[in-house]
Amino acid sequence: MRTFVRDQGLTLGFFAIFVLAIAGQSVAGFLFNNEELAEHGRPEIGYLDFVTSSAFLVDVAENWQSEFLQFFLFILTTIWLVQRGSPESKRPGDEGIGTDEDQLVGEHARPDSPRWAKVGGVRGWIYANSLLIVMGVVFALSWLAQSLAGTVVMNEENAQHGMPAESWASYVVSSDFWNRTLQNWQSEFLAVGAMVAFSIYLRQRGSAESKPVGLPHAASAEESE
Amino acid sequence: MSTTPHPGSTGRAFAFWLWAAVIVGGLTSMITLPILGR
Repeated sequence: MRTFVRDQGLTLGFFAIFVLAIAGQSVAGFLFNNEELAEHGRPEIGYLDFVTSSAFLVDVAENWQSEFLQFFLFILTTIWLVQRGSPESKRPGDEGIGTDEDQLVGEHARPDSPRWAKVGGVRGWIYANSLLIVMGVVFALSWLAQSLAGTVVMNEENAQHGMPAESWASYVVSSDFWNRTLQNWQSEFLAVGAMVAFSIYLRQRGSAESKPVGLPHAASAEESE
Repeated sequence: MSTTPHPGSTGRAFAFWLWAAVIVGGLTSMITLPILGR
């Protein structure tokens, strides 16, 4: 059991802080939502009604989509773009999808390689791009969820102000949708760029995200092996 | 899958399916509840 927990420490640790954070978000959001309702002289709603409401879900979804977009773009761009000296990057000159030999696919697969790495064809292509595909699908569905929940919230506000309901198609070109979207995107792109650039010169001893402390600035982590 | 599991394969699968469940569950509710007009 101790080995199990140690071996999955990174995912279990993040799962724990994810649960705590979303629980905290739901409580703070619930209290804030009821304050707003009271200010407008409307009846307060229960906690379960709030966490299943579009008002809560739009806030969750807009953050999900931007995080998955961040990883989608990071995985995609690091195929072809490099940053000399960053442990997040391949070595300059190694741009591209690599050879079958480097990637241990098809006839170059090892006996213990994943089955779909050995097979080639459509299954081989899917498996070779599976991380990017899944991150991209989760991004697209989260962004869709944000737009659906955002439409409901917008129409609740419209109804309160005696304005007509808006369609999903008009919501996705609205300033509210793009304000929510771009405020999340800018921070993700900033953080990724800063991580790539700072890790050229800065170190964290012991972290998988850092080069070894004494490795020269020009070297990537890959070159240290 | 039919071969002898590698050391730690149960835990790896657990970690993978834990996150898959969180994401599938989250996405399903975030898409269906607004469609239901919640």
